[in-house]
Amino acid sequence: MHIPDGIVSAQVCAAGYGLTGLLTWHSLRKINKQGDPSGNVPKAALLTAAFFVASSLYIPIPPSSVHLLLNGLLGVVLGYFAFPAILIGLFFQALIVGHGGLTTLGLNATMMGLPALLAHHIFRLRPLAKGTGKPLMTGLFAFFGGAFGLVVTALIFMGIVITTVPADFSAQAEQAAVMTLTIAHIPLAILEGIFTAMLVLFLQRVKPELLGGNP
Amino acid sequence: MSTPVRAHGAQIEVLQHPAIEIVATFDTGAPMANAQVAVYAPNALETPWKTGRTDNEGRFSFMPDVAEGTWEVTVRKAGHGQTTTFALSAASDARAPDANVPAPRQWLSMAAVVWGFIGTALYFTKKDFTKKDLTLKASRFKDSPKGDSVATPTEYR
Repeated sequence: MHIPDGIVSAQVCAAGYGLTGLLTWHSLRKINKQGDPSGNVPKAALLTAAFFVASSLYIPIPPSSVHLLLNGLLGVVLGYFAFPAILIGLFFQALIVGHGGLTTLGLNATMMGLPALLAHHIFRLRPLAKGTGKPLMTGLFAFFGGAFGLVVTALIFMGIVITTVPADFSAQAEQAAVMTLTIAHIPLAILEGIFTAMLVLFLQRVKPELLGGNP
Repeated sequence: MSTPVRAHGAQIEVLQHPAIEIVATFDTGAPMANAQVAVYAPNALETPWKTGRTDNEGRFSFMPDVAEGTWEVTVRKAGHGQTTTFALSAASDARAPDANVPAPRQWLSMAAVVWGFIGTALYFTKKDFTKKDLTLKASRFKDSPKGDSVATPTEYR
């Protein structure tokens, strides 16, 4: 679910870079306010590696196969670190695996990073729920964070693809194809949600301070 | 190169021409079935010379009518796709575009990048440790002229 080079026009690519610039600035500002940022770097580096590899792991969901994304997970566990982590991960994916591209790096970063920040805020909402501190509640919020991150990314992807079909191609055929692909991401969203919940519950049990950045 | 085949009252001429076939696959190796294809001729890159769909194996073939020049083929399905070009010379031998990076090399580079991230993580974990270590050493220097508060080796840990 990366937008490759040559699919969207130069204006859309430029807009993507602009948005990514803004979001990176905002994230880095938030990170700086948290105090010593170097404490969170090891966690961010490891999850960037996980994000980088995840896109090469395919799960067959008929009629197509989709790959893991983990952007919701990064948002839940890393908070604002998720955005630079995704940007760096995407850069290496474009360079080495050929997923996405350098012209669409900004667009892809916004498409995956913005939902990651959304996932972070969903996870932060958990003190509002009754039974705070119970593993069930934490797990539930982590699940929603992880799943929503992917669902919102899939919807943005669908929106970009549908609105950028060149005149030489049939828009209807493209819409039908992208709809099929988006529907194939629903089981993946549930899977990533469960995976996020499992990881968060594990971290809370073993090393709760790793989730400390997200009160 | 033509072989006339005569039938009763009708005539079918069988002609052999060199054709170009493209095969579109996703990077998983799965064929891009039923993907939209647009072919652009060397002399008119604005409007497609031919459009169509790939078959179930991701194949699409066409017969170029201009012998020389660079042709462009774009394949698109659900926001995934690729544009490729190939040059036809007068001798009509299509030059294939650059082959994909071989898989073992790709995995090796991926492993190198992952190791880079792990290295970053280890470096920053270590940095915390050395910072603490340095502060300990500095405090030892400060109040050790009489030698009464020399840190024992265990204090470094």
